[in-house]
Amino acid sequence: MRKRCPDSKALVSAFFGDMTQEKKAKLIEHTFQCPPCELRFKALRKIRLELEDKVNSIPSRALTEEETNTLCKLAEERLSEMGDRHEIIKPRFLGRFRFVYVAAAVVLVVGIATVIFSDRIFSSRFMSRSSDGGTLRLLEPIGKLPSPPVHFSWTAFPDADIYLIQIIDENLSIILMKDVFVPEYTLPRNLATKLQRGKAYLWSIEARNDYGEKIAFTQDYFMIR
Amino acid sequence: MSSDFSFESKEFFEDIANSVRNVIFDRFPNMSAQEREDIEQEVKLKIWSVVSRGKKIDNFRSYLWKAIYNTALNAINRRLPSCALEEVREPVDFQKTHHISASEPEVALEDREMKEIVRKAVKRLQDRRRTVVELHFIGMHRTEIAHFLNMSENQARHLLYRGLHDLADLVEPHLKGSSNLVLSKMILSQEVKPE
Repeated sequence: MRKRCPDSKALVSAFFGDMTQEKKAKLIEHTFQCPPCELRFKALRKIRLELEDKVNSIPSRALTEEETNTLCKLAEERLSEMGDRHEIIKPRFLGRFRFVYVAAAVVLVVGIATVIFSDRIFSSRFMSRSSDGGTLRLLEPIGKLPSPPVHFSWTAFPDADIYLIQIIDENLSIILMKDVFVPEYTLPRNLATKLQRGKAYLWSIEARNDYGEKIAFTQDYFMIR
Repeated sequence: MSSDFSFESKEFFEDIANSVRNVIFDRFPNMSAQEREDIEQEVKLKIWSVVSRGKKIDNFRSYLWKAIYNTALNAINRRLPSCALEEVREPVDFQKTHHISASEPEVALEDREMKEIVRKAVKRLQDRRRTVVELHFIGMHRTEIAHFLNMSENQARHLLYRGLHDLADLVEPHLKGSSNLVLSKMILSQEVKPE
């Protein structure tokens, strides 16, 4: 997505009708000239056409407590069925941009070494990167650890409804990518054993609001001695 | 409320996730089987995660719509940076000119040049006509255009007809005789003349 491209929020707003005609005209004008934005626009249009009848059969009101409970139970069952089998996701996006990721890996490793071997490591300025007026801060694990970490925690972020936790190794392989609803996560044993001594890992938290929009992001490193 | 929706129906939300998945697959026809599997799981996880929030939501339908759109856009945005631009399907939908030009080889050869001429000419249209014509070329039917722009279908039809007519005038000096004929055919085939 280019800098001047409308963000996802603007695109969704246009489809919801809660956008002024002037802004909508500008968005359409840009979309007409920009193939990636046209692709996004067409995807939303197709989804609306396909799902209009189905989604509009849902009541346009707040759910009752009973309905909420029924839905939660149903969703929890389904999520449980899907289980942890998707927790390890190998990166499949290298392809023709492999050299970019290799360069990024070099920068990452140098960055990790700089942070880990500096006396100033893990000062608060490294630990916190926040946005939108709130602070999203990683609590643990951080720094050099005697054993593979199991418990991950971070500060709750205002208006965050879900957090995406990711752990990436030095080869930029994704060890874990998972949505969680509370600001902590316990790594399953099978994944904890994949964390190796002498290696550094990058872990990040992305906070998302009710609508799945990214509202904050922070990351840091840990190393197992 | 339609009988289509049931709070006990797992299939209802699975169908939604499957539709979103199919639309994304359709946008990226060159995806590997593994990428498809990843996207399928991502979409299903997101939709079910949204459903499982269990918090008070003022309007569940609206909430679900936004979640569906954002889930699709997140999946697409993640895919786009690793996707060569040529993998993105044909930009503006000039299929009307395509199918006519297929029977007229010399026009087919001029296709790319013609698209650029049309694209530039669209920029010179009056504001409201331009917006309607752009949506038309993006692939929207006039009923959808009307809905999208909060106007009546008659208004949309009128603006589209006028816009395409202006477009033909703007493009005419740049085109050879046969191409001009193609564009005229295109306009006539729109069935957008005011009633």
